[in-house]
Amino acid sequence: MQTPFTSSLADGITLTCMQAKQFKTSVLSVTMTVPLSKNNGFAAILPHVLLRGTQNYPDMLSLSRKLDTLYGARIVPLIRKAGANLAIGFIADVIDERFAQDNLTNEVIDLLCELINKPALENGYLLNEYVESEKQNLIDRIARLKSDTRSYVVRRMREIMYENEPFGLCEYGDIEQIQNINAQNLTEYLKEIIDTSPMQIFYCGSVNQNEIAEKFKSAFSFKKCNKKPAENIILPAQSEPKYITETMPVSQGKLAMGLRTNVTATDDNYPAIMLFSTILGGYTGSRLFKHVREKLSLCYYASCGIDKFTGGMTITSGIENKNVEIVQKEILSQIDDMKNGNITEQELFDAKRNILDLLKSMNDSPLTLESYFQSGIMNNLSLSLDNLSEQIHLTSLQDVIKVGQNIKLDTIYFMKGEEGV
Amino acid sequence: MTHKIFDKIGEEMYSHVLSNGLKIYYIPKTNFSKTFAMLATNFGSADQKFQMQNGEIIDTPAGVAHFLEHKMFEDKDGNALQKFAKTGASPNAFTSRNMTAYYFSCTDNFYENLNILTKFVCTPYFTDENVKKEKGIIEQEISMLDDDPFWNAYTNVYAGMYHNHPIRISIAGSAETIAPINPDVLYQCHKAFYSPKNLVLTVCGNADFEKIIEIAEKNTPKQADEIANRFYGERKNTVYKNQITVKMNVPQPFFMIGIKDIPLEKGESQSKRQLIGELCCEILAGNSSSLYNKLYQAGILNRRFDAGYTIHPDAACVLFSGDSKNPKEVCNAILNDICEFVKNGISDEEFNRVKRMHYGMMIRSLDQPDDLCRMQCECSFANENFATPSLQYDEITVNDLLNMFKIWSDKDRFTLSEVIPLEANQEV
Repeated sequence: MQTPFTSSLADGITLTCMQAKQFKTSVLSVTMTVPLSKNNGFAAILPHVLLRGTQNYPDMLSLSRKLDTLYGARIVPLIRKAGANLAIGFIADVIDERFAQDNLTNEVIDLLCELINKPALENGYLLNEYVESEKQNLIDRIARLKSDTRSYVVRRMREIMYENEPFGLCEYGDIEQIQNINAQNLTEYLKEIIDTSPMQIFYCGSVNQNEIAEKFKSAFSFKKCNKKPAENIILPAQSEPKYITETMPVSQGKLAMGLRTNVTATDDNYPAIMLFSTILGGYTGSRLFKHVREKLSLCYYASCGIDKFTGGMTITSGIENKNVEIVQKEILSQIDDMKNGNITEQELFDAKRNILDLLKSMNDSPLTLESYFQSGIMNNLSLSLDNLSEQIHLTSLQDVIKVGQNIKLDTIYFMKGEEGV
Repeated sequence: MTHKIFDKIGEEMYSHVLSNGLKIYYIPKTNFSKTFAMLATNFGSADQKFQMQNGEIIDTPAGVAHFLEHKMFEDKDGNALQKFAKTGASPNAFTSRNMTAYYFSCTDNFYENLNILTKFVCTPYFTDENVKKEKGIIEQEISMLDDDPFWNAYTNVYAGMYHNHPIRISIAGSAETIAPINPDVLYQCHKAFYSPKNLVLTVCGNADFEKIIEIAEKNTPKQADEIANRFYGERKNTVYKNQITVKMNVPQPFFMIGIKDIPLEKGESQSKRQLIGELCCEILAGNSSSLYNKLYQAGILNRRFDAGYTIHPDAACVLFSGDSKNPKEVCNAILNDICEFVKNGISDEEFNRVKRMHYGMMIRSLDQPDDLCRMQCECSFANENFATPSLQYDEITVNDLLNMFKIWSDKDRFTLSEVIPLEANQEV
């Protein structure tokens, strides 16, 4: 497995490097982390405004043309919600230097730094025109979340389930607050997070890590205070589960169930809960796939996943409105059956193989590695793929059953399709 | 066995054709953890009507290729998905307008998985009961797609561009069109299109090519049927409808604009056409185009705007998609800028800059074993290979692009497909 090399460039600035020669693509990301809060709109709009222009490339056109000359290097805004934190910044990918010209990576690093250090300004503030237009884009984006019903139901269920926890907040902020953003307060916000928010830098590619470190060190010479990301406080499940049904003008109904496991990534039981979730609904050999889809023909998809930062388990399926009771009953009875200890050694063995295969496959994708390691570091967690694989190997049937017994149903959300659509 | 080295892009490929006609390719990526295998047939949703060697003409219901894709996993001794689940592999399949492909990736037990793949794709097993059961699953898949604004805009743009070509119909068909599907028609399609002469097997990762050949030889039939003809309807240069509008659960319009290009000529290089098409898309509507930047600045487009070129059997088109409060204005701007290019030409600076950008994107796509296998399968159907385009950058001239823009500069080749909010006042 690939092991990242993590170092501290300065107070509050962490660099994670993975030297890899097998790829033709290098990936870089630079993010700053703030606690999830009512201020999410300020954070979420920033990378979009910054990407509108810098002092040397004052508009999108000149910036894009510069990227063309760097063999189509891409720099896109990154807004990542994980645990109780929100990381914002940029992710870039560029052709590996071996297939182009020397110094390509350095040029992309220069651009990334310039986007944060030297944004286009007028009278000392970010450009009003850019701020106003990105406000509208962000508001439109929030409005569009409902159109993607498959992901929206999960979002809506979490909003209800975590209504008293930071994780329940939308990473894009709320429309009312976004309307209060202006060039002046956004510029001040940028200065504040540069001074105070922990910064995470990631690189995966063929260039030596010392060179990358030196390059970033000279670019980001900030002095940071308040260097710790927010701690995630996880509440226990409700004594009685919440049942919520809402209607939408769509044809297919969608079910999302939220459960609390209270087991997160750094917990010794985490591998066991991963296995529980995989056996229940993590792959084509899982119970939900075999029973709800293949045996009962009730859906096209029914799956289960675990969030490593909150320990939340999410089950989701797209179904006909009239089948909501049967599907719900079938899912809950599968969970109960597993809790009662009716998991076979074969089920455990197959699920282990599946997880180990996925963990090993992550090494083939710099983007997947970026997301895995950076989301850990933004929560002050150092995650290891090797360790996790080893622990998965060692987990016993009893471990899985035991950890399953603490799972509590918290929220059942059903988005009902309206008749006649 | 043939071994080719593509120095410029740092890739190599082994190939072999079995005596039954099956083409096999292996692209080594020995530093990768996983190995990916794809077995594909050049049978997609557009191949609804065809003729066998004996003269028999067969007309099938819309959605049959996709239905067959679902049902192929079923075997007498159990479901192939469950067999893969036991080996740790991640299996899947897709149906496009041009092809149906079955694939898996794994980090272990590769030959066992390849054995499962080649076996189930070549062994049909359909019963009244298992076909009926699948309808419930596919109906939910269709229902999910029906709620997807992107899918609606995508299906409708083809319905607008084409008069009677089967690509105008949604890949999965509808609940009505799949209702009459029975084991007979599935067996018929399997016999016609899953013959080794129509199949391509591509492997990318870590494997022994001899062993791949051995497994493929063991599991594919000795004899192969051949299709005599496929029917795609009468060609027309202009579109069927200039505009199709539907109302859905969206907060602002989502659009897809299609420009109908001329189908690939006999003997024309598919990868070269594709490359010219993609370069035209980038120059006209890419991130560094004046069109995109102008419309973004005016608040008419956002970062979701996209442009792409696609070649289908007996059809080719370019598609632009995105969110906009005013899709018609986007449509007019596209036509206007195409005409400007036709009139004023393309500067060498712009041409070379965009070519370099595109080359960088192409190189990066070589890191994705799944994309690479799909590319190789598609190229193989056109008697080319995945590395062909990398050698064609230098052949392409500004004039190639201008000739394509000339074809695009005709408003009668345009279809605007839009999905607008439910409460909007519709003006057509």
